[in-house]
Amino acid sequence: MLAGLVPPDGGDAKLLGKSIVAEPGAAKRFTAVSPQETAVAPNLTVRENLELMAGIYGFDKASARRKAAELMPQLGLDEVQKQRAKTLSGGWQRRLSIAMALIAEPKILFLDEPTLGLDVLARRELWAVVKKLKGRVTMILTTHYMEEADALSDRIGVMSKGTLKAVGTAAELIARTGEANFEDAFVALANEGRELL
Amino acid sequence: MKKVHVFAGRTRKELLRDPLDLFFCLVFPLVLLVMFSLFKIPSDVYRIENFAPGIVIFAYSFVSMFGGMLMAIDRESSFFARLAASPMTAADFIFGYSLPLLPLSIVQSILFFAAAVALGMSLSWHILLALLVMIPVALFYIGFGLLLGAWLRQKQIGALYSLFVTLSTWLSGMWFDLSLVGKWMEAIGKALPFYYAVDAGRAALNGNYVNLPLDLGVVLLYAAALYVLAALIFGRRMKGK
Repeated sequence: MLAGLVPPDGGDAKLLGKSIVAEPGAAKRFTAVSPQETAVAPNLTVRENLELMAGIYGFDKASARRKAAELMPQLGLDEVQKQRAKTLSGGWQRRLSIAMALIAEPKILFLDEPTLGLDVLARRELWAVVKKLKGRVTMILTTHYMEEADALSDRIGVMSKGTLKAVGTAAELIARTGEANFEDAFVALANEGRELL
Repeated sequence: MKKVHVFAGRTRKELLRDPLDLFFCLVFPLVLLVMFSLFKIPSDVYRIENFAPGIVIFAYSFVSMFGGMLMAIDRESSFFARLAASPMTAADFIFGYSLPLLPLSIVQSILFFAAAVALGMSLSWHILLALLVMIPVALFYIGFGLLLGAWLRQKQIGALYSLFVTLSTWLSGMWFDLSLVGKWMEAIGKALPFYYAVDAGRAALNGNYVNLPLDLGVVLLYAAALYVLAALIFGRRMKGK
């Protein structure tokens, strides 16, 4: 809903003062999404994919080129810039996917399970990318990997069955439940009010 | 408009970089045109002035199919979530998908009419008029592809197009005179735009303009309806419906 992909059944939310119901177009101008699966144009090169997204978000051709040239080295994409997206490995495609979200200079970036299906090395590389972005852009990251939430997040929201069960830092959530680690704390919070087998 | 232009550039690259698209849009219809003209079939339908517009329209159905399939592939992938979350509107997408298809269709018309001239069609200014007349026809076919792309899944489109190409050629009088398919089929054919599309091309090439306004009117009406429907359905898809 916040990313503008599904309209709310009721109520409203504001992103930097813009209502997602009354002004969805305005809200979309400063948000970007990096979806769960590979979200690239397969027959376009890495550079062309980046320039495409910059153009869609309103940058002119020269600015799009400049921004792509600036962004590629930051995410280590410059060495594959002329390769078509469909020829990249899963890790590289995911990296490109995040770059495509970043090129629009969003103030809020939604990362939907950014490391799903990646091997340990590719996952750690992407973690490094996300850590580098902290402070530049607000990121809302959804994940099923508790160590990922623990390693990357300043604040964690625990969602279970469509309900926000708790919000806080990993340390706060661990302290609240009295568990030994964040994964156990998550399980305890997610199961609050439910009888375990 | 800038967004549309940028997205149209992406559509163009995706289509032109697929060798299969180019084969079916350009090479396959050309081979058919040459083959049928060499057969020298003794029927007025196969006279090159009458047959060439049919081949052009046959080729449009491939542009239409590949455009629709690209749209469906996008819709079924996460790439669509990225695009739907961007400031682009449903109308931006519809134009972004269709704009590059029109020049490709015009290239098809020029190529196949040029081939027809090489195969014996007389070179006259009627060809220029026919090129113009074929533009609304191309828009109709592109609109049909967009509607299917917005509505159906990629695999469904592939299957449906076999049926579409067969029916549209039968009901258009492209391969044989429409009066030969029976009274009911003729009536259905004349209620659909395919017959008028082929007739418009033939009328322009043969310098017989009496039916041209009706032909083009029917084709444009259908094209407009297809575009509106495609935009409405695509708009719903963008909202996750």
